[in-house]
Amino acid sequence: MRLETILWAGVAVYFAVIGVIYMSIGGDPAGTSVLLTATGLGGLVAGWTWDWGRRHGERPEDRGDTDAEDSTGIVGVYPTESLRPVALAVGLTAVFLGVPIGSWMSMVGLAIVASQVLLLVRDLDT
Amino acid sequence: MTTTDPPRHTGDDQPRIFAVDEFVDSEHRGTLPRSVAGWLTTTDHKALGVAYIVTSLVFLAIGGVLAGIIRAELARPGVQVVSEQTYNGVFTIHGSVMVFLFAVPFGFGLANYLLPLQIGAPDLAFPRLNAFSYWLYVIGGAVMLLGFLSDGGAAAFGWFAYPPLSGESGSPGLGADLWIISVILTGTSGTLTAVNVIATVTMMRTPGMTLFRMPILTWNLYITSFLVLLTFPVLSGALLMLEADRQFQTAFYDPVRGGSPILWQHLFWFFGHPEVYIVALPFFGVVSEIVPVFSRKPIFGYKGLVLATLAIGALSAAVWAHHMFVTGEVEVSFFALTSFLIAVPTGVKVFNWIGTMWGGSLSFEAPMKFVLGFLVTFVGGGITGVMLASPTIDFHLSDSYFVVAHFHYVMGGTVVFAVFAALYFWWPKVTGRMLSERLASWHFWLLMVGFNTTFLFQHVLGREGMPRRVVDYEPIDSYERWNLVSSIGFVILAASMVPFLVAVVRSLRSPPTEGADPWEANSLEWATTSPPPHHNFTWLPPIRSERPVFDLRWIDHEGVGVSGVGEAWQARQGHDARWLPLHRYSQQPEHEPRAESRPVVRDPLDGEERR
Amino acid sequence: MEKIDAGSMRTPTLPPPLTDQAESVERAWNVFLWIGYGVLALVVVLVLWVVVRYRRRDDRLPRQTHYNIPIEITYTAIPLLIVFGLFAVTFVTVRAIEDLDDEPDQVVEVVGYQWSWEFTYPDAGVTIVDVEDDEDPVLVLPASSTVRFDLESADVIHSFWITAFRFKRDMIPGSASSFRVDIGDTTGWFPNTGVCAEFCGLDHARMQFSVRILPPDEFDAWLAAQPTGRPVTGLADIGDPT
Repeated sequence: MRLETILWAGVAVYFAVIGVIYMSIGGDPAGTSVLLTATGLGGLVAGWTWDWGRRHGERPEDRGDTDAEDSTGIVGVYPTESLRPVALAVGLTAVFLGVPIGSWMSMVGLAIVASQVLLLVRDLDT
Repeated sequence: MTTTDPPRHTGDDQPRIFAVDEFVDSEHRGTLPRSVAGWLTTTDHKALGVAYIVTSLVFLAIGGVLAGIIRAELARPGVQVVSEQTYNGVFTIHGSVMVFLFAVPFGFGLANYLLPLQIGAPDLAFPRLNAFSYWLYVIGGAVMLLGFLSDGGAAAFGWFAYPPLSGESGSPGLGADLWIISVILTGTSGTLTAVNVIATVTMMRTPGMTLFRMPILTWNLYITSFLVLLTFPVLSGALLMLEADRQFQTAFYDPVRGGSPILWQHLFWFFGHPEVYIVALPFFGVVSEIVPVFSRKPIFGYKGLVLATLAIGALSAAVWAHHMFVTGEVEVSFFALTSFLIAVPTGVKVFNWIGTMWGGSLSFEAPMKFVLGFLVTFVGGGITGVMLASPTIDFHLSDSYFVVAHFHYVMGGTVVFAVFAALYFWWPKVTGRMLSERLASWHFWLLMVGFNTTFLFQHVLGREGMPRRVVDYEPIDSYERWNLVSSIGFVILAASMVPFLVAVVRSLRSPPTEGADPWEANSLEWATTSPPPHHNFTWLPPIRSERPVFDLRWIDHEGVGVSGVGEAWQARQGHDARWLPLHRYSQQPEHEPRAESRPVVRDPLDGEERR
Repeated sequence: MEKIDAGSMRTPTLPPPLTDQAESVERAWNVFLWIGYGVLALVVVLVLWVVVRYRRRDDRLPRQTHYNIPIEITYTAIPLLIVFGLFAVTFVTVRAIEDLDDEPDQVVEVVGYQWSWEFTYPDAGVTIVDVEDDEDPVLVLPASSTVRFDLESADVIHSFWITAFRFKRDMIPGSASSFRVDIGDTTGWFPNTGVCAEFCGLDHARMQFSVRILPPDEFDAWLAAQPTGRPVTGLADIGDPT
């Protein structure tokens, strides 16, 4: 995870630098705020990859000399067909559309979203 | 680092040239869902990738029809084809559809289909989240178009939706709200896809696939996803504030009550400029995949390309107010400098692509033709971009047809030519069939002529003083002449789509007979059947460079592929001469309905013996 | 002083640069244009060369060159130098364009609204408007003078673009904005030079104005002769444009 950490830490450093430069000459609080908060975006991912790398060490895909046999066993768990995604999308759309159209639609949408989230939690098996 | 030229043709005593078809079973090709229920519930990245691409091409057609209305109206002075209000909605939705519903989702479609294949993964990291992204996109896109059916018509404030025009009093009417909600939904869709891509690239590469052995397309999709994470939420936030102004009487952007229209512009363009790189970067990746294959050389300067793309991504977040030079309220020198700087890594990429072709053995099948079309159009657009980066020049040319010409040239290079390059290149992988080269030639040349005729002289119109977003213009000689030429060009451009559509229909009517690697290509998607089976791979070559399939092809030849591949190959032979089948469950019947998730298991040795 | 004869509608669309700032923009434009042509020509020539010279002739695999650091550095450094040069040109010219003069010869207040313009000469108390649906308003200016424009919008964002000045400035409601130009010696009538350049709704395409540049003494006379109690409209009050 070393390279990933370096990349995302680089993102954080870049935005810190450019954010400070822009803060001093830009005269624009909006742009300054987004640039400086972007430091957090890079830092969040860099922190996670650093911590994960620290706890799990080197992986076969971090090394240049490994082959497929080095990752035997369960590679991952992948959900198969599911109705949750399309139903959730309909529900979330209804929530938003209710704002101009009428709160009844948002209520319907919320009901759909809530039921789908419950079903999703039930479906989770990891 | 270079190698000597080996001979191509082999006899019995010559070193072998390996083909992937020897190791994968082309009798068991993958399939797409076959029923409506199958499509509604699929979480397979390949099915969703196809869905994204087909949907985005439908939106391309819709955007194209809207463009046709624009060019029909502007062919002659006077308002003849549609009313003024309708026209304003037409160009607003044209731009919005092309950017939000075609260009970006097509890139996500490529990410969906190709990224797991290119890194040797069975799917994206979060398949249900992926499906959720797709449905949000389709439904959100439909919501935008529903505006045409509403009382006041579709949103008619331009694709940047500047308040106060987009506010409650400027644009009363449901169409505007539908537009805002649509962009929030599709933006959320994109953000979630970006999360998926970053998680997949970080956690699901196959052994040996270090970051610097990933294909350039994967790198570009990775960096694009970072830009999406950075900017889509900003747009969603700004849109929520706009909708609040419209529906809940807040005053974020309303100057009468202390709000700031300039605030919208900063937030919108902080998203809006990286957005165009979000559109472009995947297609730079497409070009970086195609050029090496048709030049029979590795991509020139791989690390330089990665660095250049990182620089483009970084700089793109610091140039936004070059869209605001003419407000007089931004620090023009800072943004002029960053805008000039971003031209440098972009230019480096162009020279890397030329460097790949230099000294190569070039062939010009359809993907390569369209890549060359991309190169010329994109560079033209890039040059006018450098002009616009200068406030001195931009004070005159901003908001004129010069800008319209500029962005159509950069967009034309990327989402027109490179889209078709991608379609022609990966068509055999996705469908198991080829597209007709003859029809592709007609498509390409008509597009070249049509595209340039439509947009080249719009530079002149802008210089001469024609503003953008106008339903009509003064009956002045040069305005009439160049608008008419542009509209004629559009007819040719539209006509160029016909050979493509014919080729698609003909191809889909023929049986799938292509093997795993019809182009003799480089990356891992060509190491499996066409189409790939469920969970993608039953076998993988050893990975010692960014071109594992190329390295495999020349494994018997000294010094062609990178060092280390030969040793890895030998090590495999030591395992009782049995191949390493992967993903045992992928040989199960496809799409059995199951309620729960199933593990994907990699077995080191199996009873099967395959040679 | 050079007088431009407008003649009929078939005037050259882009008037010559009428201000010092516009001339500086034109000089910068020429630099950018010719460098742009040069870069485009270079890329086109390289692509054509490569396409002809390295066309596939046989099945041999070419030399598999992966990188060449000196070449890559060169084609990074040279564009970097070029853009620094372009930035320098920009930096110098922009400061001159954005500079506000403390004491302009004339101030004009411009109000943009959906969908026309109002020009006020504050010291003289004269306001020019348009004749609704009939004629565009006319902006009358003195030659060989410094003029400051104070812009504001009455409703949505508009943009004040005089193509002959090679300059535009957005008018954002809630913020006033100013810029200044040094008008040169050229006098004349420029009917198509003023447009609104920021989409502002239904009749955005109709929001034009004309510009009339008079010699300074004629301008003073004209301004003094305008009525102050009511808005001034149309060509009739400004005299025969030709």
